[in-house]
Amino acid sequence: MYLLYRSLTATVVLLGASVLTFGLVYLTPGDSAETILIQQTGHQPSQEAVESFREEEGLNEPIPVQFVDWLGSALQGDLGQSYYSNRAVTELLVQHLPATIELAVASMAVALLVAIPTGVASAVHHGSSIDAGSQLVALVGVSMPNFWLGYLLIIVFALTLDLFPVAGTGGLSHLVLPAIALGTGMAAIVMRLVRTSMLEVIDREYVDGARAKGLRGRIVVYKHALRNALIPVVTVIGLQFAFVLNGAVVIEVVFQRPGLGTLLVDAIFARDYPVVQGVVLVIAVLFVVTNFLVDLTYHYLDPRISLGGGTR
Amino acid sequence: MSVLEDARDGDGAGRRQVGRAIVGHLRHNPFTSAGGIIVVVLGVVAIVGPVVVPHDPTTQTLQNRLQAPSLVHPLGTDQLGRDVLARIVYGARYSLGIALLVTAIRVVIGTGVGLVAGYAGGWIDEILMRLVDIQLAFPGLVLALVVAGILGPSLRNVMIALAVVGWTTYARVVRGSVLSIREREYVAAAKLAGTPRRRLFRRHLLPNVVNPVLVIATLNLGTVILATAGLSFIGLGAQPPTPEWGTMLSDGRNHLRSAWWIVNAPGVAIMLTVLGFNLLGDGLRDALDPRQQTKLEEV
Amino acid sequence: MTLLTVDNLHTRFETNDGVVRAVDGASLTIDRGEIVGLVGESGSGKSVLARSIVGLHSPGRIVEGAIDFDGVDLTDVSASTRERYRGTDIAMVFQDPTATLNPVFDVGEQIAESLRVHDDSSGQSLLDFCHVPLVSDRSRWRRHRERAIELMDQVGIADPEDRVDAYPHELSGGMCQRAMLAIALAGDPDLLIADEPTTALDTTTQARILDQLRELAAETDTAVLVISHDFGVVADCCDRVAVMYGGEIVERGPTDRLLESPEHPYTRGLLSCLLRADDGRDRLPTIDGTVPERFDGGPGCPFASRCSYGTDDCERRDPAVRTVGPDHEVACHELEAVRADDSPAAAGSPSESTPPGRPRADPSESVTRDRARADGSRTIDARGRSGSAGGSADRGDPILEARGVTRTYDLADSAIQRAFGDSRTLRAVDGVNLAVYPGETVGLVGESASGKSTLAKLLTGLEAPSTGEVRFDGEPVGTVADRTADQLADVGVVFQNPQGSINPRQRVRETIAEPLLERGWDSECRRERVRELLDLVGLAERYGSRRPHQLSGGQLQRVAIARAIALEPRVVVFDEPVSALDVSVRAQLLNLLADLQRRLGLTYLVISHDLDVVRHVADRVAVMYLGEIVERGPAERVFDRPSHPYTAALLEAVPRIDDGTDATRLEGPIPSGVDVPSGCRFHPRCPIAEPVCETDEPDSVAVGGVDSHCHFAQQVASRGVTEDSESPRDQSPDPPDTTTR
Repeated sequence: MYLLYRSLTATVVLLGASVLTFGLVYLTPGDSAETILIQQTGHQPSQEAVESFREEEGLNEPIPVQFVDWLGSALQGDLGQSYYSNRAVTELLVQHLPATIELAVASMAVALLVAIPTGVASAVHHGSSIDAGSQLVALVGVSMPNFWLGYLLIIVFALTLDLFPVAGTGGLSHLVLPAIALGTGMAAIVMRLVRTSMLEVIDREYVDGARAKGLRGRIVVYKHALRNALIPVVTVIGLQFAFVLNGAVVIEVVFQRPGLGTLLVDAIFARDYPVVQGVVLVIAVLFVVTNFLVDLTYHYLDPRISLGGGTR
Repeated sequence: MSVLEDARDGDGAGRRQVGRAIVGHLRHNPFTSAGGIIVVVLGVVAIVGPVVVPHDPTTQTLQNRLQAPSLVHPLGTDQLGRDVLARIVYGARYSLGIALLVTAIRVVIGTGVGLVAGYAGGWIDEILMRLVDIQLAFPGLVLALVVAGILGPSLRNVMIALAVVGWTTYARVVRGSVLSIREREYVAAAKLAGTPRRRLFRRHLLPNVVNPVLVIATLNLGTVILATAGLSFIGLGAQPPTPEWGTMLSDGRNHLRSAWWIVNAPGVAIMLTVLGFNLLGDGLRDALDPRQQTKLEEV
Repeated sequence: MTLLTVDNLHTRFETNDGVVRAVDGASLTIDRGEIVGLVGESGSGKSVLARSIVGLHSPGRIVEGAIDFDGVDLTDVSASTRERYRGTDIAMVFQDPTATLNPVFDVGEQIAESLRVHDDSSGQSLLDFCHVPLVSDRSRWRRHRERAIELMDQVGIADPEDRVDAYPHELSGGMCQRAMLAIALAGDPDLLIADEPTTALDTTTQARILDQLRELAAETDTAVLVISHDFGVVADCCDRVAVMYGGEIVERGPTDRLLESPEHPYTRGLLSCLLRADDGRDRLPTIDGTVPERFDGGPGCPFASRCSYGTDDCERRDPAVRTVGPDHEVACHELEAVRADDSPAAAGSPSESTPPGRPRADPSESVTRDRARADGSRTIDARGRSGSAGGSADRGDPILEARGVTRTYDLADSAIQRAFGDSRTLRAVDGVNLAVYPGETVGLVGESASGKSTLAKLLTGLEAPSTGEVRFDGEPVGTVADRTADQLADVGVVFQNPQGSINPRQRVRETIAEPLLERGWDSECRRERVRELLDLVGLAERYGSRRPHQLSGGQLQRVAIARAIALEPRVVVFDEPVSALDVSVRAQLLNLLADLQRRLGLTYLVISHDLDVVRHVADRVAVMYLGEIVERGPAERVFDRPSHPYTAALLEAVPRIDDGTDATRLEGPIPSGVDVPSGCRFHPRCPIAEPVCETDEPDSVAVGGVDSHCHFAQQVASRGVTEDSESPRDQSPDPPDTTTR
């Protein structure tokens, strides 16, 4: 029942998202066909050229018809052709997706590995210098623009120490700096969250109950407290996937990685709308599906939420 | 008349109370006061700085290009020989101005939608919240990037894009507090006293919404500055020769090895500004969180 | 043999505002196999004392004194040694079982965890405790599970094989507390500390948990320390009792002795505040003032400031502990004066306090009244308490009436879920008729989830009935939004939780003035009226400018009452008005309610789960079960001779300081209003249910002025309750009373 309800809302959201994706193009000021042709050819196109371009791209149809056509073929995996490279949008997406996924996963891993133990330590030693220190570091981490951090890392580790390559893709070594640049902000956010969530939980009666049983401090903290503290953290990690995708766009530009981000930025500047729509749609799908999956893991984390019915 | 008088009295007292809580917290928490100082200094720099700084931020002096920090140019010069410090100081105006404006628009739209959804309930709520969900299906910056990109690269369009994208948080938070407060017994008591909806809203619901909105807005100022810089960095925001921090960072990317100050000066500026707002926002949250307050008073 | 000796213990908390001396020189002993009670109001330090014994008093510090457990001074050993005592030697059960069980682990796992500690307390590894498959010891896991099921069975959890895999939220509160007991027993402790073990539970559940505690102590020779604010609970199960006030033990002794001849003025005060079955409707004795928020910790008796025997000596010098009888000790300077007061008239009433809310002037004569009711069309019906036990003829017409009201709730979370056909509904109130007549007090009792609060919301118009109607003065009235200003002004409401019912941002005077403001009073009249109201509810004028967090629970409830009576309503609905309060405060408030009713000629509807409270205030009583009223009638009659088995069971479950009989106990929790049992709703829990109860819904039967919805109402009524337990069965049934028909 819940599963059905949740899939339905996810579908509604995705449908809405595709309307939005499709509609974005119509924000273009002026005549879009003309603008595109100027970009493509570099000079003012003739009236006939604009007309034929419109005809070709189906821009003369009423907008709803255009949308249904677009969505119909999108569902079949056809997102149209790039205006410039004459390659299928789907093909471009498939080509660029792995680099982004790689970066997202690596930076998430960096973030969680750092954030969870630090957050727990900070909460357990609440008010100590460990706590104050890690909070300050986390705040700086949240406040740093990730593209600047990227350049800092490049200056120190690539240009000065020559430990890692400056840019591009390749083996694991190409992934290290971008993952740190992107993962730092995420780590800071998650760390702060783990800390608050742990503080919330650590005064609870069941934690006292666990201590009263004679359990060791470490077991009380990592089994009883953390397990409960993670419940809100997981939701936010799902939502923070947006942070990763946002950041990926910028970080890919910094490190010149051929991922969805660079593809999107290039397409925007070139007004290559089929590609823009394709990338945006893929990112929305990625994001919605991630959060859908996060919702499903909820049941395992919190038995009070049942997949069978409503809450409780 | 008297009703208004009393309502005003109530609000005034509430504001004074909030004010005291904030000031008290500021004094006790070094983090928060550091944040406050950063923000105040920044404000002063943005307002007074341009008058004091000797160099013009846009004058190109090519023979002075890529000079390392010195007494004349404390933060060096960029690839076109412009004084980096002057550009940073002028940039503060852009960053703060944009942040304030965008956040204000977000607050107005988001709070409005949240209040309506939370108070009306039913289908109106369902529709508004699905709209919010749809918008939340896109990572904010990506959506802003596309909107700004399609509208055309300019600072104004970046502001429009960021405002349109970021109101959802407010809508959700405001709706949540309205829903929870609506169930409180003191609201029931007010209803029993015959309080009409509008006054119920103003006296019991609105004050409870103000605090979370204030906290989020403060933290949001930092986020907006980061996002603006990010979009400008990509090339969508401020166009040359505007001295905007994100654009400056992007200008320096080809001189990482030879002129490290070009990227690092705006980087530090952005970080400090955002840090200031974050510290202040955290402090506000701790000071205004009623749970924290009761905790303090219980002990 | 003495197991635990707490000697002159001091536990302190450092706060920003100075040092809080939570425990300030308390001494206590417990023998093996003995049940000792620790009684005190909130703020007395009893929980901190208990936590100090198990070593969970952080962030407090023990600065002085000793805790000798089985020959070891626990204040003198390392933290890790102390940890080893927890669970295996000293176990603890906390107040709210649903909060003390970890929500994300099943009950079996949480019991097994205790067993693992007990097996090997020194070698606890995280891997073991998280039960990682492959690494963990499968056979040991199975053994512990078996043992967990045994323990659950031992503490009285039915179907332990099924429940062992249940999560806490799937169990009722009583069941969770049993699970907590099982966890505590898993370590086979010598001492079990139960901190308010039944406070969060319904009376019927409370009775069964206390039975269980007694049995366990007897069977396993475990010593038990029961901490409670409720003398009844302690009297019900303890061998010895210690009374705590201001961080000190002021009196301790054998339970019987303490109840019969209490010596300390505080003990006497506490006992006299208790509502007894036989004290009728008299003004309750009270203790002046409230527990101070902080004790200065200087020398002197902590109770001196509230004690009517207090002398300068009491303020200056710590009272010596005097032995006044076998194993009976008291710390009081003025014992002689206290005893001298034991003339028959003053017995049990050490402090002849003035009524806390003595009104200065009759508000019906006040200036503001005329301004308030410019129409002047209504006069206050200031007649006293009517002889309401009589027939309906002399009652006049009801002021407030529910006619066949039903309230159902959709359980589907959202419109989309409903569209999917999720049509589960909860029947909170189901076809209830209830009339409240002018001048009387109607009591509405029932366990939690019986629908009594929902009924209050329907009557006051905060919710709309699904079917049926609410009438005011004979006219159908809608919800709050539809009622006229006069109708709204005529009904006052006081909610259970004063913290929740008063806007924390507003000053007290703004809260009280809210109804006046809406009625269009100008600011001067409002100010005048607020002053009057504060006086009426016994609060000094300066409280008007305070904010809610600066007031105690009892004071806040007075503010709520002032707001409710601000517009001189005719009816006041009280939803659990005193449940959240300490006994001494409760007594003060009940006196205030009686005063107000007398002076203002109010009609009351009092809703409570506490039978003693209802017995004390009500003329007529209605007993609610699962959305229906199962019995109603004159209060004395219903309480003395209930004619519904549910009422009888509720009465028997109340812990009494004056009886020790074993009563029948209700089995199981109240079923949910989603799947209402067939026939008589009470039959699954009824001790006398017959097959007919399962199939036929009982009609209303009149028994001696009482309406009972029971097939066997006559038989139940004739059996009487525990007061008659010497000869329970040989009484002839009352002839059916037909006057109410």
